[in-house]
Amino acid sequence: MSTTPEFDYSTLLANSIHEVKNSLNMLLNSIDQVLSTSDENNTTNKIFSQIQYEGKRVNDDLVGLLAIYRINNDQYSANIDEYSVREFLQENISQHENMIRNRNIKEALECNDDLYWFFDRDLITGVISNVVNNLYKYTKDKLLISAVKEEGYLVIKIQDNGPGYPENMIVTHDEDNLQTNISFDKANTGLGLYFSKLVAELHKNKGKNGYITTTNDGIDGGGCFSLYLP
Amino acid sequence: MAIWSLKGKKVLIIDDFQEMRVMLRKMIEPLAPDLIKLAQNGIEAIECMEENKIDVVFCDYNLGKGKDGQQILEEAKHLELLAYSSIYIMATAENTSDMVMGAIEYLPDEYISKPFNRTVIHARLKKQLEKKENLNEISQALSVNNYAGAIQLCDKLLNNKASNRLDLLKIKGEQLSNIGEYEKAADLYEDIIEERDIPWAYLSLGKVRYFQQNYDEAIEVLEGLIKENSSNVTAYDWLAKTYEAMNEFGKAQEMLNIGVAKSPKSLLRQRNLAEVAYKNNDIDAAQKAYEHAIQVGQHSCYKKADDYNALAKTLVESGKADEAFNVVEKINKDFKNNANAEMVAAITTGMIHTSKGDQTSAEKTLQDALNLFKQNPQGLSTDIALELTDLCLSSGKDDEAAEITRNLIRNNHDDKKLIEKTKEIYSAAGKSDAGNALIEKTTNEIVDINNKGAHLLKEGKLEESIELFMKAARGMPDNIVVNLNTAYSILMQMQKTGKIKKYSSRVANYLERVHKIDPSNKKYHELMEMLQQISAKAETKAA
Repeated sequence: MSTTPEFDYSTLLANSIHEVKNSLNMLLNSIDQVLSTSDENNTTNKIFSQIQYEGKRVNDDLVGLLAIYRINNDQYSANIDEYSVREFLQENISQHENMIRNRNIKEALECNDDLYWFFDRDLITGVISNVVNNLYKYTKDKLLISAVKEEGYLVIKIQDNGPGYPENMIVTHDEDNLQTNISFDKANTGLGLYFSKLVAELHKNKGKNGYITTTNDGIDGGGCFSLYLP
Repeated sequence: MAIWSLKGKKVLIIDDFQEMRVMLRKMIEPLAPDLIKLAQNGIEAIECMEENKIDVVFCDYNLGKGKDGQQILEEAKHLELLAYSSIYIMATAENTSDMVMGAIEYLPDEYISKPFNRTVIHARLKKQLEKKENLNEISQALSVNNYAGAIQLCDKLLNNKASNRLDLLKIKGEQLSNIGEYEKAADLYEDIIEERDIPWAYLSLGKVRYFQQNYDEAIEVLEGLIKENSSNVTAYDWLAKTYEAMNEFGKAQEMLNIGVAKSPKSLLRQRNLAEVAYKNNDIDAAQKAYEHAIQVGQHSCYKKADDYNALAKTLVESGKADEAFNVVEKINKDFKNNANAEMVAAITTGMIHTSKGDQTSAEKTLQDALNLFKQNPQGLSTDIALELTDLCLSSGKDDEAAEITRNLIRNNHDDKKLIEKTKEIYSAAGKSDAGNALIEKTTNEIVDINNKGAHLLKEGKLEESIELFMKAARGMPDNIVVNLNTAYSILMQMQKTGKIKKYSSRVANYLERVHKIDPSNKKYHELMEMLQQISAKAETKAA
């Protein structure tokens, strides 16, 4: 690792993102305030919802961008801690409650109270946010998040009842649980899936690492995003 | 679900954007705290914490000019403005793990990534409140340094299948280390690692091996940690410490270089690097590191004028004496109304003049330094005291030098390295004999006092021995042996008279002094245990 700085991209990214995130924070919270004080499904609120949605996508991309840069440059140390999975997932769902309400999506959470697991909270939040924000566009009217312990992995599944993942977004993995077919080339899948893959693989325990899959065995043949964390 | 609130709590919100402060207040108001204070920077924040017993701090990491969120936490903890039971939540736009890995001492209770909404804040606050409540008894024990008691409480909760098992194990492990039960602590961490490759367990295991002086094992554990987590900066800090203990300064410097590259904003780390580089005779690297330390530490509570003096020294040694004068000017600029800094500035100036062969100017500034010294003789760090001694000797002010040396030795008569350095200084001034004689005389004085006191103890003359030791401790407050003896004689008194309450805090104070100087001191651990036992016996008698 070089100690003489060429151009300090790291600081540039961190500082810029700090500024952008501050503005985003103000933006999203202001919209939140508007939406949470009014239950009406009127045109104005629909527009606000749309703005909020796009704002969240911008945030997802920012988080993804910075994380990918850092992970690939060996600058990210996973901040693994133990969390109640149910509480964590509930917190995540509540982040999207306005959107969910506005599109009349029926959401459900299936997870035992006593399930505790180890992961990097911020990163997994980012992954879930990405998936849910995507799902929001395509699901018919259902969202199911579940978590179980399976063969030494925590398996978090996010399912919808939309048309399912297109061919170019089906993700598989090889014997070593390394993702084999995710790259930047595919438009619209680039950042989100790549980010999720990196995050999953960053989680390791006893020689096993995490991975993701996307399948079309969700609700009524809809999409199913699965995250496996060792 | 139980209804919860912030009733009875005082909240402080710190953010440099007014809109954010207002928004955060709106989010927290519904929880009905007793008080919500707002601050826009470190100065206001610290002032607020000095005036109010704050229970919950919500602070943005990035506050523009001045202290950042981490530095405010460090200062608040340093000044003991925040209790164990206080909650410190830091909001950050950056990767939180950088901060976790970058901080050397204190960590916030919780990080929240931006953007966040009201639901998240409420959820996190609730979680922290529950956590603190679960650990309340334990916190209280820790706040009076009752480490053994804290361990017992941890065990009690662990046996009852607590849901915060890992938190309890973390605390138990730390306290086991604090009382010197290193093997038990190691077992605890190894059990955790059996289940799961948790980074902090590896780190703590490495630290324990270091304290046990099992340096090879420490290195093995820590290097294993970096292999999987190459950006764990704290691991590099401890590797550096371990190599230093093995006198492998080159490797230590290497580790610190990596640490600093990954996390440059820590003053303590830059200072460590500078000191090690200097030991390695890498004056160039030492100079750069001191410069960085000064730059990043502008608002840190760990800031010291000593660093400026050290920087000036490296410049002088590289033949840049004139640049060194600029550093002195910086001391005056960066430390306002600070008597110690003024003294350091004078000493540094004297040192530069001497190096240029300008004895006349050196003597003049030396006189300034000595005047300042007389006003506060206990305020000197050992390095600066040695500098001042050096200056005095080269100006022929042998008596003044002797006074400083006496004070230095009285406080550190056991410190072989320091005594070596002192001898070197006298030797360089051609006054070896005088130096050795002075050191011997002073050391003997202290040995005599300790012997006299021990004798009195043996004869059962407890009151007299306590008086003797306490007087000695006043005169040399940093002397470990004297502090330990004082604590010991008071403990004897407690055992004899059964008067526990009156004396136990006094004993704790003397022991705390030792702990601050030498955390792994074995005698300290023994006496702490003795204190707990005596106090516990008294409690059971009363009950």
